[in-house]
Amino acid sequence: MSSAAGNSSPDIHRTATDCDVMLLLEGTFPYVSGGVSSWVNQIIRGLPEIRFGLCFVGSRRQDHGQPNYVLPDNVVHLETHYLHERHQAPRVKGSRGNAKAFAQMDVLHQKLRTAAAGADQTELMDLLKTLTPMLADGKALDESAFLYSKAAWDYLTAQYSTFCTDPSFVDYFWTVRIMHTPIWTLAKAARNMIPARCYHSVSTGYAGFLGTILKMQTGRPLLLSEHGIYAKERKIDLFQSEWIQDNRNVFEKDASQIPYFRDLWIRFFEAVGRMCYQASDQIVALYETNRQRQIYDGAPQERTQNVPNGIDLPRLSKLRALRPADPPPVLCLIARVVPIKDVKTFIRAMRSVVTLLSQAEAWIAGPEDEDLAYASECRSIVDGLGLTDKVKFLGFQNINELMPKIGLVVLSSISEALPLVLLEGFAAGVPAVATDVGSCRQLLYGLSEEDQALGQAGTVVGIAEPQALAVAAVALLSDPDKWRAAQAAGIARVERYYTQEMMFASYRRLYQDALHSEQSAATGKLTCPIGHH
Amino acid sequence: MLLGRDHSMQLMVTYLLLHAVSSVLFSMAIRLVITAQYRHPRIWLLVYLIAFNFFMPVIGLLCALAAILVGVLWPKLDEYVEFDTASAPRFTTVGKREGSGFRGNRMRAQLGNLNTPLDERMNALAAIQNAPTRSSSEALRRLLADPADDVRLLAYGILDRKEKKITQRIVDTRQKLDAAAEGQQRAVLHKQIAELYQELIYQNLVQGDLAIYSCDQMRDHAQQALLLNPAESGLWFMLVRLELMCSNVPGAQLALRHAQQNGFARERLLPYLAELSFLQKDYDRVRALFVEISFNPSVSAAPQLHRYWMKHAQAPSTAGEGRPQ
Repeated sequence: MSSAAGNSSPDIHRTATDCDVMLLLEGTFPYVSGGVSSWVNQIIRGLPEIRFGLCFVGSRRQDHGQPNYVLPDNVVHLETHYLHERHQAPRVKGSRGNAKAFAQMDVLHQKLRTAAAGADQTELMDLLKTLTPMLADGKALDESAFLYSKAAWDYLTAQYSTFCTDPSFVDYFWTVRIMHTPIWTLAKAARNMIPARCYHSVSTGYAGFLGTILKMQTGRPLLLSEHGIYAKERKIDLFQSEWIQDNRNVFEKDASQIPYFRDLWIRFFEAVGRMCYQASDQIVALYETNRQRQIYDGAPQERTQNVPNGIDLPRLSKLRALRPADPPPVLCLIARVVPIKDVKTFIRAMRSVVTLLSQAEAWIAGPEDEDLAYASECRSIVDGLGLTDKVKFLGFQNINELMPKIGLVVLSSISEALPLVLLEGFAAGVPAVATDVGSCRQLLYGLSEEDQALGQAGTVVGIAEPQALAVAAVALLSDPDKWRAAQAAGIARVERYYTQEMMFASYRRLYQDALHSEQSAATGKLTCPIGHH
Repeated sequence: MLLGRDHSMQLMVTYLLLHAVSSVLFSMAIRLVITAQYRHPRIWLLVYLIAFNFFMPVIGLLCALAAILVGVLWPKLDEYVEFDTASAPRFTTVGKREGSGFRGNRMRAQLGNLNTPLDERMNALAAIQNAPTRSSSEALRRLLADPADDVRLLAYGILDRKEKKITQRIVDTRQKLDAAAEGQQRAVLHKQIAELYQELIYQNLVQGDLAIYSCDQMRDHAQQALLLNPAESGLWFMLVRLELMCSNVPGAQLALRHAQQNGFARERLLPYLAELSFLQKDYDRVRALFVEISFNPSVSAAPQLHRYWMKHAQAPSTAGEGRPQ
């Protein structure tokens, strides 16, 4: 199930006996490209003095082909683990199971069910610490005990009778199995992992839970950085998912109650997230709203902080000199053509923009291969609205070449965290119009009073409001004074708060603190506390 | 052997081996004469008899025979049952009941009220995704501007999924149309595409410019289908509804005439004729048509409307006064 990757690509093969920081990466760098992956790449390259190990957690091996990034030189180790690989049916050996251990597990579940976020969860974590070693093969709560023991069956049937509001036991049985099986894969990965001086997870979820187990097992510092909020994103996916069964009939159904299995999955990811928050020594959010959300979801407030993304200011600021004297009437959406970016709203807005400002053009710069059906829908809307010569799909573009040619960065997304593209635009002297999601308001209007005093670097509009977006864009493009004021505010803001150097300095400090606390806690040579092999 | 003078270990082992073999043979022989009801479990019976014969030579054999006699003369009263005992089943429909019954009315209030806890609003939102889109899409669209990120995202996801389902079918049908030969098959596919656009419009899934685009596409495909199959009265009726929705009076008039000519039931066309007359400001005809519409208050979708026109039908008034508000 787990292996060191690399037989397919010479760049990716790295093995070491230990490392300074082990990054725990779920569905991201180096196999999947995207915002988080770019950030991981940036951080590793920005801190060359640190020896990084990478632990990639994915769904199935076939879902992740070749790596999308060349590993930096300071990555000394890479291992991959897949949670949903199919295996041949094992030889099943029934056992009675350890009823005492299952009773302890029951207490853990009770605490997860009842403990409110924000309450003292020391007991919960103590219990988890006791139970973690029991997950090893041959121990009281190993995978075989969970899957095949009489005690597990008794526990499962009792839980079904007490809590389940869905009539199907069969669905309950398999849901619980599928939900919990990755825990043993992660526990095994933790046992076999090379020693690291600290662990850094870039999300909660499965990677975060791996971090929790590692913390319980080794006592070494755990750092958590979240770009989005994993539990929230999972929750929204689960609310809409069609693969979760609802077997209630018309008399059993309360329309205002979500189906039991959907709720069970949501609670699973919330619980896993809460344990990760509790186990983490430092919890980093990209911006204030997300930090508040982490606290709401169970993160201890005193351990949370914001470290915003930063951009390469010297490289991007050079682009300002390449700009024409007047802003070109070009609105550019720099993003993947996928539904979450709501490209359709941008196209619809262009219908009105062109009416108000006939020379305006829209460029959509981003790959279209992720959701081909959506991209084709967008193109047919362009045709249908008679905008074929006004809206151009450019595919992936180099920012350095693109920025000097555009007048406005547009972001019509339904969801964002802290979009780098706005910061890159500011640094290159391009103001923006963005929807009121994630930290866009903070980036365009400023957060603190001092920040707000720098001015507005563009306009924030509501989501899925093409008319408002069009009016805001035209107002900026047709008024050079207003546009220049927004440009100046953007440049000032990015230079003051969002440089790459500030981000590196923050993470250098966080790592140093973690490594220092590990050093003061550990004595002697760095060895794996459970004897990996 | 044991009574002789040779006390070597080898002799002892040989004796025990022979004794064991004889015990096994005796046991197998005894097993044959045991009545059927005592033969199970086989292995344990054999082990028991071997142990009896091995550790109690002669006496064991006698005891076994005595036991067989007892078994035959005073047999076990409870006969062997082929089925295991199971506890009586309990009647349980669902392990646990949820909620407090019908709370559908509260959902709308929960969605709109920002003071309601986020989890409850999310549950309410998840619940309305199963409601008919025509009635829920407006509420969902309003929630796109909600301050809570989760609510916005979920509302968007629900709307997008519903729209995507239909647009994907449009894309698929268009591909089939491109590959289809001339004739009847093309007419069917054009009709299907027009119906899918009609669905998008009816479900309120398209707004503004996109709604206009959808109307154009619907009209275009319906007309293409009618070119191939001009007698299809259902398609003319579809055009009637579209043109009335777009307030296109000449188009609606033409479509209504064709629908009637091709045998579409006049009773079903009456409300649309009334609507057309209203758009043409011919209010006397609206009244006349309302008189003609057989009115059943229990099934009428707009009884107030009907009452209004019927009331004024009794006392004719000027065109301006007859206009409903």
